[in-house]
Amino acid sequence: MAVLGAIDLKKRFKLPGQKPIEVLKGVNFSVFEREKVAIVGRSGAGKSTLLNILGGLEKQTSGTVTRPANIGFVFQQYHLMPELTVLENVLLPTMSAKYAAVLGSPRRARGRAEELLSNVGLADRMRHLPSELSGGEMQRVALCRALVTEPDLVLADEPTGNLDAWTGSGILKMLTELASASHKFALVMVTHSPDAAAICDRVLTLENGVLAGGEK
Amino acid sequence: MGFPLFLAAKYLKPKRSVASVITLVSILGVMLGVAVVIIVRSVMTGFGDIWEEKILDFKPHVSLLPSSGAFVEGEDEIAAEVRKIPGVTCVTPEIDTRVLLSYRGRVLAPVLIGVDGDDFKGAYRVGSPRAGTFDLEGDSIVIGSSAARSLGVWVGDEVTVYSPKTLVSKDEVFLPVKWKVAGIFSCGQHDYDSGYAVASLPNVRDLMGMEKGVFAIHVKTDCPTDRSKFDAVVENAVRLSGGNLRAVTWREADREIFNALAVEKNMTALLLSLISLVAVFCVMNTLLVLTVQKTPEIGLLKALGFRKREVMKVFVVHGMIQCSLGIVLGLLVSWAILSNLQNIVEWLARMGLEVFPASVYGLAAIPHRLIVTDIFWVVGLVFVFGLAASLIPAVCAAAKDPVKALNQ
Repeated sequence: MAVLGAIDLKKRFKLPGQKPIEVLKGVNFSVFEREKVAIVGRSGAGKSTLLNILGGLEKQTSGTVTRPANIGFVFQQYHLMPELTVLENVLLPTMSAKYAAVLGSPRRARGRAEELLSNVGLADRMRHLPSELSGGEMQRVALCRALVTEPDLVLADEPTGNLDAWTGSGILKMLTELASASHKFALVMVTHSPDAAAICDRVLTLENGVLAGGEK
Repeated sequence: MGFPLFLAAKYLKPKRSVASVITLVSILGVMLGVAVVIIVRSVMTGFGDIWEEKILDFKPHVSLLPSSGAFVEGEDEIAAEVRKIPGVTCVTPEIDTRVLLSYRGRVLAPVLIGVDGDDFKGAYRVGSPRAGTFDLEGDSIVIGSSAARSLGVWVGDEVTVYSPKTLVSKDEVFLPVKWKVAGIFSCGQHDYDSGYAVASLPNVRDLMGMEKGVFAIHVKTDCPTDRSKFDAVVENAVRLSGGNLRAVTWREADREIFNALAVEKNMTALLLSLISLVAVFCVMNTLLVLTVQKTPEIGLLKALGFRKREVMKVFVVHGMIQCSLGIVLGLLVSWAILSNLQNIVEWLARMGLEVFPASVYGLAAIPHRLIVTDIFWVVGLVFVFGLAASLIPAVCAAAKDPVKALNQ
């Protein structure tokens, strides 16, 4: 069963004094439950724009997107709140009105966050601030934050883009392990990394505004 | 703890320092605004109280005037009845008229009060004589200290008193009389010390060519500021006079002064509220800076599923925390300053800055009184201003595009 669907998705940017740029020219694809999909392509091809549209952060010019209500995001820049501890950063989505009901009591949310942090080896860093963590550790925290609401879909934008190859492969390994752990989710990952693409079931290439590719 | 309060509290304490400097500055701004408004209103209330006290000490609380005609007749009987009313402390039949006083070529036109000598001290609380006595026996007169200075007279000097009848009566000739200055009073209020003189009722009656009667019956009470009790006294006094007299209360007699004081206080409050407005602008500036600093985090919140309203609340709560802290500190500072106001004034005087010269105000200490309603008024005003000032940056924050915000 498809958890994510895009039909004839188009995106056009209008810049003042310039010709409109059509980044997406009719993207059609579906992502199924527990499926891992990598989207690759050259810089500026529109991969991040596609991911933002799929996640509802940006509006498409035309076309239809069918997405689940519960989506987790992982960003290249981690985007952890510097004022919050590691545990508070992971718990952040559960504080929103949207997700407060998903996990029920705050105690359950806290248990889930602590379990995730233990799974990624950060059980002893829960009280630390992001500034006290390495890049790899910060991305692990960001992964836990994306998964704390038990999403049906995780959208990851270059999750290893800011990390060295060794740390990046560690993150990918964790992502794979988490994906096959108790809660299973579909993954759409924009990446330049062949290693990252290698963990996915399908690799799609975004070129000239359309997606190409198929089964791995 | 709700999410807006949780995150707003976190924003108060940046990761690298104990507290945000710009937040501290805006809290101090609100604190100063609140403290200044409360201190100034308290001092103005204090001055209003002094005015009221001086008026109540010198002027009658109620004047019973004839409803028709110029004189009150049967004044002793009426006064005896009015004295029986609970709350009445002194009743004096009087003749008040403007006269001309002259002494060695100097002329002054004070109000001459004709009153029974025994009632003078009860009716006019002017303290002890500055010089001489308040004995109104014989051809004597008691005058205010400023009037005495203007005329150049002292105790024992004889002043010439010209009746106003001289000017209005064509058929009769009213010769001026010479009265000896028996005493000089000083009540600390320039208008009274310069504009009033007192003589015995029979002497003033003679001066006015009257055989009997008075112009008014003046009443002092123990409850001039207790509206309900005072109104009952006034009503009883009018009733006991047989309906031939009408009452003019102290508030009506000096309506202009009290209106002027009220207008002055309200205008000052209005102008000072602008200080609060400026202080609240500090809060708005801080929040605007914060929304710029936190742009990626605002984008993150929206990406994580937080609604616009939730993002707005974070910044509104942050602004209200600043206002609340500023208000609490402002109240503490104003309390501390008002508790030590006289010490501060004296210290400034020792430093060469005379902010409250006793010679100008005729008061030993700077008056002040803090009214609870003033506190509620200031707190409410700052809260309303603060809420309005917080909403603008909060709306700006909530309106940010998540993708652009995340990429900033």
